[in-house]
Amino acid sequence: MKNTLPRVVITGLGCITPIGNDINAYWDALTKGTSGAGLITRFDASQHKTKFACEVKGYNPENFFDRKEARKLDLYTQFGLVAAQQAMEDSGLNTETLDKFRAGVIWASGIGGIATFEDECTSFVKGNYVPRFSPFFIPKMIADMCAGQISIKYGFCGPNFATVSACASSSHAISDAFNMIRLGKADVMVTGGSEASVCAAGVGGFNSMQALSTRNDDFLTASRPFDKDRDGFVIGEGGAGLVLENYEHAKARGAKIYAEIVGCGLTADAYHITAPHPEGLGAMMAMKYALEEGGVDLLEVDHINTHGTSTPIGDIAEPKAIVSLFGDHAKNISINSTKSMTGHLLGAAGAVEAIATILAVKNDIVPPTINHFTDDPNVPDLDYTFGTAKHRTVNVALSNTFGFGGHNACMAIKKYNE
Amino acid sequence: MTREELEKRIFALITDKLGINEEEIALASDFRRDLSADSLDISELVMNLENDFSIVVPESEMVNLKTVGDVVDYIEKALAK
Repeated sequence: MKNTLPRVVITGLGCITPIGNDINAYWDALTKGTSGAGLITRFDASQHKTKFACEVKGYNPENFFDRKEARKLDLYTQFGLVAAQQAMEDSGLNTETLDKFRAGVIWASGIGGIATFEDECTSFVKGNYVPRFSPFFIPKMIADMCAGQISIKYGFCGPNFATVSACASSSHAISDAFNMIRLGKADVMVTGGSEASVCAAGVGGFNSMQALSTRNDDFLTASRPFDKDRDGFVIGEGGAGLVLENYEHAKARGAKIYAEIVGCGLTADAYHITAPHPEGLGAMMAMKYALEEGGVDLLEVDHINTHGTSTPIGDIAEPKAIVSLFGDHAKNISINSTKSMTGHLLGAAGAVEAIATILAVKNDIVPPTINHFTDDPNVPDLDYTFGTAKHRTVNVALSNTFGFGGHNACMAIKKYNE
Repeated sequence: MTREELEKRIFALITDKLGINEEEIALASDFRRDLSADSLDISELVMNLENDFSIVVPESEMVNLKTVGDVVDYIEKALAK
């Protein structure tokens, strides 16, 4: 069923990731199959079970912010501003002539400024519990501040807020931004997400959940989605931004169009705080709804960028969901997990993977799932694009993300045709 | 500590926290008007001064600290007590 709501196209992309600090570098690293893992430099991890992460490399805040400004921005907000700026520049939008009340920002972070929280609480304890919190503690830490900062930078006065759904956060942001345009509440939306949780509390907390890989002796291959010996995800950091635009608005200004978002499926597992539904029921329905909203037939799907975190249970439930929805067609779909390269960017994962999916659709190249050594008999036998990128036509692709709490989000992306 | 040393220390702290150069600051500089500081900047600055000089600035006094000179005068008096 085709609906008559406005079409929503992607006209700008930007990112700062563990494998590349702009879109070209990111795509190049993705298609070459590059691991972003390295030993942790952001804090002393010598006592942590996991001593590696996918950190952003070569980032110097002074290249983007003056000293006074940078001090007031948590790293997650800095990553967000960098990614949003790239996406805005890429879009070619003229902020002077744009109707500012028709341009909004929906930006996600799964956790917000956890390092700021940790620093402030640590000094509180070290200072004998005398409450001398910085007046910037709260505005630096809160997870909505990046959305606010981006709006201040560009003067965008349209819809503005943050979405939080753990590792699905930025997919919900993109979904909401998509809907703002479809509902006629905005012509342009800057959306995406950023995360910077590689700190003692972040890594320590995920370690206690036994969520992280502890393959310290071989960290480059630790993120191994769908492999028999996968032992948890590799925490990542960074930011990714998209400019979404009403198709007529984009066409009128002659914008470059990457692809079209045609549907977003949102469900909950309603099952467990951290474990996915064992059969991937919520994931399956999210994919189904995204395709239905986009008026796309199951057989048209060429590629799925999975959530595929490299955790023991999640990597079984998601392929099961794909098989139960697509049946025989599942084997024709090029599936990948780009987390094998980027690690898991948590609240930024949805956006950073949406970009990988959009570029796969635009370029007809599916980036690989790297670090595959041994097949797992419990993981359904599908085409996971192990090892090297695959050149193939990608007309329609899905990007899946799921978050602790049982949140599922799937977006359907279609090759742009007038 | 001489008045000159005190001024130097306070100027250094303010320029560091507000990310400005020494040429931009004078005793007559108004925090809000001349140094683009907002209420959060001023609160943070006062907390830092309290730490550095081991003094306590009551909240009721903060409204009177409009210029850099006001701060130097206030701390000079507080240290003399």
